[in-house]
Amino acid sequence: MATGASNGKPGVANIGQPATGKGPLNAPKRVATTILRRLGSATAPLAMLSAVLIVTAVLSPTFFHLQNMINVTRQASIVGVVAVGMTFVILTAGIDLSVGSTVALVAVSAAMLIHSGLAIPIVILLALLLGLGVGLVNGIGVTLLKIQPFVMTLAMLGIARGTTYQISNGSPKDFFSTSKLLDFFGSGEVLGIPGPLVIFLGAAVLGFLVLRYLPFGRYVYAIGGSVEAARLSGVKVNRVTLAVYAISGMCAAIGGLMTASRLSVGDPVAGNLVELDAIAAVVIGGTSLAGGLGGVLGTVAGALLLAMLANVLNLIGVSPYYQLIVKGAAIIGAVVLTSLANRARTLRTPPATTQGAAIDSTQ
Amino acid sequence: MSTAKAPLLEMRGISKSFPGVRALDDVSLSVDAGEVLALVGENGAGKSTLIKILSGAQQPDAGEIVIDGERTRIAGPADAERNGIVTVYQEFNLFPDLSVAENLLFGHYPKNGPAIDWRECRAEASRFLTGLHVHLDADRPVSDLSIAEKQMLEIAKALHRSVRIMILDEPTAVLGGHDVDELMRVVRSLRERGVGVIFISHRLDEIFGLAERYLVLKDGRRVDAGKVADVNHDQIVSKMVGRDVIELPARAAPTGDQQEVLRVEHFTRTGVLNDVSLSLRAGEVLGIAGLRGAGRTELARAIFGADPIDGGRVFVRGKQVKISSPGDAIRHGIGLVPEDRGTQGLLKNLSTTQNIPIANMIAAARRLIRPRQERRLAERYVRELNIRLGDVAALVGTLSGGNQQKVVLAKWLEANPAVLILDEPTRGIDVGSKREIYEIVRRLCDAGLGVVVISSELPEILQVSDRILVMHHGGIAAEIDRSQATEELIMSHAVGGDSVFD
Repeated sequence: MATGASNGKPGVANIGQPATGKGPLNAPKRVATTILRRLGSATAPLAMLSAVLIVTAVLSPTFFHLQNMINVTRQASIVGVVAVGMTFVILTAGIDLSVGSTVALVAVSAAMLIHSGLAIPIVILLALLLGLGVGLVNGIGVTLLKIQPFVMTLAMLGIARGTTYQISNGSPKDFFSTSKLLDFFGSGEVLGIPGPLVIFLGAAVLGFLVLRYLPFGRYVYAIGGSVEAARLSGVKVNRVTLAVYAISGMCAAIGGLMTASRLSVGDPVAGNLVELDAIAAVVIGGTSLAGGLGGVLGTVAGALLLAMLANVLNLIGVSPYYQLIVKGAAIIGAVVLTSLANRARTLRTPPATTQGAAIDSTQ
Repeated sequence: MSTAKAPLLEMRGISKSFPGVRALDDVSLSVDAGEVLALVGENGAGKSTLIKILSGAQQPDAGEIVIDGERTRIAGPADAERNGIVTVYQEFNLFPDLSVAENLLFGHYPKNGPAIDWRECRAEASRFLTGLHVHLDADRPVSDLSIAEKQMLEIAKALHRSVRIMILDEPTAVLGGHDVDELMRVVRSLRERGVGVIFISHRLDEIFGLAERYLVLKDGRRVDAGKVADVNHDQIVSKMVGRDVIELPARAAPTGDQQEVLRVEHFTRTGVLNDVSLSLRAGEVLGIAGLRGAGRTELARAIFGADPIDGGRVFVRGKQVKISSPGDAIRHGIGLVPEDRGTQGLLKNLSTTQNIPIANMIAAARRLIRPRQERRLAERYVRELNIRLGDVAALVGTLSGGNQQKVVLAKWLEANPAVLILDEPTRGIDVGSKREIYEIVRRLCDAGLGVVVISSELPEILQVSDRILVMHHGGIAAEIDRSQATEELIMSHAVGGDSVFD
């Protein structure tokens, strides 16, 4: 209950006319506006995803074969899960460069644990805890030691990868398991839907719900907007920051399990450059590296877009060398489109008077 | 008209719309060389849009800009600079890590062949500043300068670029008394140099001391214009708000038997706070006056747990509490509306709807967000506090200053505190919104809150406070009852009795 506002009389006389926010919109237009608002910064990436789907349909009909679609989503899933965690970190204006190494560390550790005969559920639990641990160390470095996220996670990138080589002696660790549970992370499926896709979308839905419906999610955005304003609103900045790196570490661990399960081997070079693909997916998805703007929905679109692009380029026979170039160009194009769309959205309302007249920092 | 020389600058019939809002509607103005035009109006009246059009940041939908009698298109900041139009914003356009000289001459460095001649650069900067009677060491890094010094440097930089039209956007909102005088002196010298000045300020006494002509904007329209000499203070205010300003109704001072909601004992922080004690009753407004740097903001932040203290105790509603973070303060019923709403009070990347509930989430340890409920909540506060905006879902950074401050207030009302500390609550806010904020403070008191108001504006302190503390050098220099308080008495304590400057 609001003390003053609800008890007090509505005393203040109107000055000018108070805007009500309800323009003379007709019903369909209002629905459209509402949908656009809901999608927010994910509007542009989702539009691009649709556009690429249509172009693909023309260029390569084989794309829509069920088996190929399943392949695409499988490819998108590992990067996608990692990118969901990365979204949380980037929303606080941080970055996590260690996720690729964490994927490998978890993949190799899980392979070795399974090989040693440990029960699969326990291995999965330990793998998640390992990811959590890496994330917490990152978080402690960023919060308590006040190391810049880029530097802290760059260091962790080396530490985790080195540890992976050390425990595996640099060679792939294979294992044998008939576990349906483990299989689900790689090649399994339910009702014809690939397991990895289920996990990816599950993580995305969870991430979306957390960001939208939990105060924690609001705090993540708050920290990305202004650490000081968040702190003065009572947000425990260190605790929330620690948590986002922990989430990122756990998501990377899931990615590690998916990698190991798919190949039935823990490869110490696995997950190489996954951190960059994940960051690309997040950024293409409309989340600002400056923090505070964006969300998981866009990240899902970004991850699917990247995987689809790779798949289509393969199908139409573009050489791998060109593929890298096209991918780079696609990232630039996507980010430009997204920032244009964001600008259009923020300019819908008139700028403030007198305050904030200086350079608008909204991305 | 036909015989007179064309004015330096004319804006004719300028209109600009944003979806849903007509920001400017057929506004015309003119400024002669060596003249100061005061542009006044409430936040949201369209002043900012007008300036942005003049400085090339936005394009008008209709109307034309005429400089020296010639139609001129200002398509971007580069066009503005070419025409000698410079805007000095409240937030500065300076490089903090570069020196005064490097900033002053930026882009126009004296060269020695292809290389910059740094020696000459320093020498030229010193010469130029001395010529302006601005006492700044050319070698000092800008990050070391005070706000007033930065402002002087901005103006000097503009002059160095042969400015013809200078727009000063609320230059004094962030300055203390002596610095304001200094700025006035510089603006007068601009006038002598034949610069046309557009001066925006909410402090009407400055306008009367400085400007020849005034222009009042309201809801994007020009409602009045004329010679400053022909009008008085109240006439301009009534034009701005479109009604007569009424003094706040007198209110019975709270009786002594009200419950004490906050007691601070012996707050000490080396070099910042010096054994500060205070007490606040329910329904009471305690004003805290003092010069910049006297420790007012520091005291507020210390009570709120934002900065650590070396010693002292806090009691809320008679019970001693331990506050080591803002979260603790909020849970114990203390709120703080910070000095800088842009970076401390609001989350500008979030909407009005998303900003309002955030402190209450912490106060009430909420578990779940219900977006629909949040939206209704925001709409209720928009009605009750008369927040003027297009859409509660729009980013809060797009609101005008007064409305942003109301959102900050809504955030704290929703957290339901026992004590609310307001640090410079009306800085940079127009007269109409100021009044509304005072009325909100009244309502809070009537509802039983204890309110602390920190302000550099003495009339504000006198108007809202039941009791006044004056701070000096981190300590309480005096406690003055409302009935005895005068600006002179407060000021004499603020400057430390015998010394004239701190």
